[in-house]
Amino acid sequence: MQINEPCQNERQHKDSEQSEPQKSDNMMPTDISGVASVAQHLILRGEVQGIGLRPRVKRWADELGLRGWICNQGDQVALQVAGPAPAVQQLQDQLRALACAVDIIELDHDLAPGALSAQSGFAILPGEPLHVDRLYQVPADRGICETCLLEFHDPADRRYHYPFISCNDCGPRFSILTALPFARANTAYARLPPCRKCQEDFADPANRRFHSELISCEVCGPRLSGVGLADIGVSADATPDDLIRRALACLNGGGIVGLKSLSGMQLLARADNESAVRRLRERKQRPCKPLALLVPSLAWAQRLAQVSEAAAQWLTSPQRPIVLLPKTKAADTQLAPSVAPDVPDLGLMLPVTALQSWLVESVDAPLVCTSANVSDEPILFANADLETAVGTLCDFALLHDLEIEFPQDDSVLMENQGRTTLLRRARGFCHTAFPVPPGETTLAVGGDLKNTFALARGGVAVLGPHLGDLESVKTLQRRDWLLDQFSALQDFTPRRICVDAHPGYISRQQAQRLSQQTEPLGLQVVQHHRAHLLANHVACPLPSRYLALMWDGNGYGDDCTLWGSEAFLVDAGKITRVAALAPFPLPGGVQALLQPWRLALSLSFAAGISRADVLQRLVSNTVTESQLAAVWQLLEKNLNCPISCAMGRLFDAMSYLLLGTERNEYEGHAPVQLQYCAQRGLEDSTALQRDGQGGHAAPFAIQLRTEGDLLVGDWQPAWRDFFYGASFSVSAQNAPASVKQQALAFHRGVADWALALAHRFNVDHLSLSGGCFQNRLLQSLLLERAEPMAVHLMWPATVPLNDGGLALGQVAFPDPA
Amino acid sequence: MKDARILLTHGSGGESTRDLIRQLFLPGYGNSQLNLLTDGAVLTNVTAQQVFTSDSYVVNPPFFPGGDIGALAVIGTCNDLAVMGAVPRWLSLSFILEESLPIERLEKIVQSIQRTAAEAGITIVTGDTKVVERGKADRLFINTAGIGELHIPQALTPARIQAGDAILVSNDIGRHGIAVLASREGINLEVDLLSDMALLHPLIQALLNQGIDLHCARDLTRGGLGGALLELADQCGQDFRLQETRVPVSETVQAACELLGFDPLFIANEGCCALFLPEAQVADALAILREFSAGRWSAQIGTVLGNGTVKSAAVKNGGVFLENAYGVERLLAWHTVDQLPRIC
Repeated sequence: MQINEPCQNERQHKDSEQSEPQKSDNMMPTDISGVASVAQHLILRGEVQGIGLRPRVKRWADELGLRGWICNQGDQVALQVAGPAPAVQQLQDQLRALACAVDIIELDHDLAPGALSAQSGFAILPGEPLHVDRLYQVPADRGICETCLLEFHDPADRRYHYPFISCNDCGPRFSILTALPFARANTAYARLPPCRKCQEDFADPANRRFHSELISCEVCGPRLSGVGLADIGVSADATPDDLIRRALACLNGGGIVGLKSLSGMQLLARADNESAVRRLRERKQRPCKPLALLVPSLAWAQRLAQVSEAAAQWLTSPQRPIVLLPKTKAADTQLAPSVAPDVPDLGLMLPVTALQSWLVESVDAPLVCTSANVSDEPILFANADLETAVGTLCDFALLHDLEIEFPQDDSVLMENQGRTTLLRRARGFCHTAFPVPPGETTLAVGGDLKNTFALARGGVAVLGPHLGDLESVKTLQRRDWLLDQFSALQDFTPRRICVDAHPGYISRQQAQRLSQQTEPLGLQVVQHHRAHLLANHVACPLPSRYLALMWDGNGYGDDCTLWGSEAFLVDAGKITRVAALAPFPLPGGVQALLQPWRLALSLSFAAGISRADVLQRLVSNTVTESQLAAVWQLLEKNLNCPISCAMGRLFDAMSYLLLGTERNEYEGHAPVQLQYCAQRGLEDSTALQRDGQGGHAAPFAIQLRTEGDLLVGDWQPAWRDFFYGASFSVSAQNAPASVKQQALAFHRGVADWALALAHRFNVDHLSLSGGCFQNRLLQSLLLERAEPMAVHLMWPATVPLNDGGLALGQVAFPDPA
Repeated sequence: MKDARILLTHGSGGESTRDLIRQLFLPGYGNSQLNLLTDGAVLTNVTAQQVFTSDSYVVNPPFFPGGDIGALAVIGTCNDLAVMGAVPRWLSLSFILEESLPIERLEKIVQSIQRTAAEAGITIVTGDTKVVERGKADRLFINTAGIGELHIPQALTPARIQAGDAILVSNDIGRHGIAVLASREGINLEVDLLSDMALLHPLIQALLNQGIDLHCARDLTRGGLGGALLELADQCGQDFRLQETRVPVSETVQAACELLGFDPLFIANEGCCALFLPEAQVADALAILREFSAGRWSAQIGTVLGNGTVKSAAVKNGGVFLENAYGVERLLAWHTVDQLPRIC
């Protein structure tokens, strides 16, 4: 919270009585009581709209006997307030105490002492647009609050069972926004004028919906409708109760319900019904990636997972994300096996809207809740699309006539010992602005996986919502459309476009074409891992000198190999690559990313293990000797074996060596299996020690050796040890103790290497990014080691460590001009 | 022959060169025109509009399963003419030979050229021979030029592709590139694969002669089917939609590609072309194609959607969309890394 010098923004003077700032006569006027009177013009910036700030300030002003006005201007709040100096100070203090929302209070200027004297009381004025030379902060969607839920369930309340109940503290914001500032007329509610009763509530300072922009009720609000398969008659005038009954019948019968939720459509099914979940997976074409759960209450969440206090705060937060939490033993008995097979964590979410709450509380059981789309395609949100989804994705759909302007997925985050890791940045998060060095107005196109884009103008950057993998045509179209929407809202025309260095990325190819066609649009290429580094630099407070560890599955490197285990030393703005793992081949290129057994083969080959030993050891139920021999040939002949040093691939290889994970069904699948096994190993090791069984596996020691300017992490001796010392298991959950201990030893070895690098370069801050650090166990092991060394582990809580955060780093790349 | 290997003198233009030509090339594929050994060939009996093309062949190894560089040179050049809608008639054929190439091998290639030329109904009317030092050429390179005659009012060009046209492929894809690579690298494949090398003008002329309104054809050499379609979409500015499951790929090629990590869509073919014709004539066209062994696995693989059907900045001037078995559409993009070097 700061009081700044008067800002340079354009501003529009509201108060017609207010004259130019007077030449001071150094005499403060006094009011009747003799106390000195002041008048001020303040600008508030941050998340200041859509949170009921104006009515709250009005109440304070009224209580303090202050005169003036407040209104939304663009993405800011402007207010003028006059009255006794202590009262004005009190108001400012109260504003500053709203630490969660208001970032900046600028004392724009002191007003003439006599200003506002004609104003009686304190008024809330209509909002107005503001054009400034920076990007705008946009109000975030807010999950339904406790009070609205109580009103929703209270038969005596006017809004009992009104599905679109909201207030100053909760409800849709960004997802229904058409322009700034936040006002009914600038949202999808513009075509739903409030009825007389709602207008009365709106104007009544005693009402909790005083000045609630989206105030509505069943008389004037959006209409719920239902679309079902032909055999189910759903009449045009079905009441919300009828429709909910219909939806419940569908769910309880093992069917799939489509729900138009706050920022897009979701598919719901009972999580305890195996055949329903299987059907949902088939329709969505998602064979085994875990599905998230909507639970009725925090109590339910606690039954299924270990919910820490920090996690509970996230679950009930306005962002209302999906929170990944360690499963309890009980969870497996409550949930169908296909919900989250072979993974240590469950993704849980509390209801975001009254409609969701109504459904899940009526069922009183967890519901599988996933975005309505075919896997890897963007979330559906337009009614026409949702209607056609009936029969293909769902059996019954609950829709309404409120337009969604900015569709977004639910955000996903992980909570671990008080540290938050954001895995998917979408609803609730994607409006946040970041400060970046000023420069050309820039668009960053992100990467091809988990694509997002970022915009920057006037020292402010915005990271757009999760879009998906760019191979899908529908994702490309959604991206174009969403970028247009963003650009319109943000007055945005880029003069510079930043891309990843990978020549094969669709995002890069598209941007290159664009920069050639559009004048003037400069193209800036940013190396993948440096972009991750810069994203952290923007989003975390880091000192002038630190080591950045960028560990992921792959990213195109300066030397045209695929990097992914990089350590960069950052010192007063200079970035130098100082360490990486020893490289290894990827036999069959892209196939090696899909088939972890190829990595196991490749590492063995590179480590000098004999062909005979490899063929004997690596054969399994799913990988034959002839397959191994064929790929061995590729390695010997160096045929389509691009070089990589990615840490993610080391995890893949180990996952096959210990667990026989033959295929990466989704990004990170094999490493997650390994993590699960290692976590079990951690749980066991106390028991083992107690029983005197020792059970500690040999360590996985990555050695350091110097090669020119680079410190190379030599994993080969450790790999050989594990190769010869390890035994197989076919299940992460039921692996023998030795395998679990080795999986754990591997994680420990990797964590040791990270801290060894910190020690070697004598840094006390490690900046971590890349998908590998989304591993809960690895995080815990790192934290455990970092503490006694007084090394601070830094990663952002609001930017994904995976490629979803790439665009933010790209957009922050210094402008050479 | 006196010398068992090619020497630098063979390329010097003197007696050695003349000996080589007289004793090897002329007995091989000589004809009244070539035998004159003039600097240029006079073309008579030119009855129609002409189509002219040029090509070079550097395939490694020069002898591969199903063929050799000589046959490939003739077939490849003829196919370039064939996909324009022309009937190939005359070829030039020039050699760049590496010093110490065994002449016996050259003889085999010459015989192969002769057989293929006869099959194609073309005459090789002129040529040249150069020899370079050891190491400067990998055994031998061949450069060609070809002239064919157009008996249809308009050549087959991308500009003639229309919205609604069906996209056909004349045979299964990927065999040539994989066969050459497997042979070169000594990769053991389950089933021995042969190059699909084949003349295309008999098939294309059959289509044209039997009333098929062919709009465009393209042979699928370097870059394969995917490369050819991306180029064509860009050239004609229309979007194409392909159905993945309809593209004919043999199991052996599929397995080899999976092993190697290549996409069959981008593997070179030497006896295969893409065809664009009206949807209404697809059944007839397939019936005609399937009468040829080089058209055995012909199939419709997609359609031309039209101009700017997919609104996306990623697809400015004609894109190719690949629809998978579940109806999900992927954007086909250029693979920037050359999948296979030196396969044609």
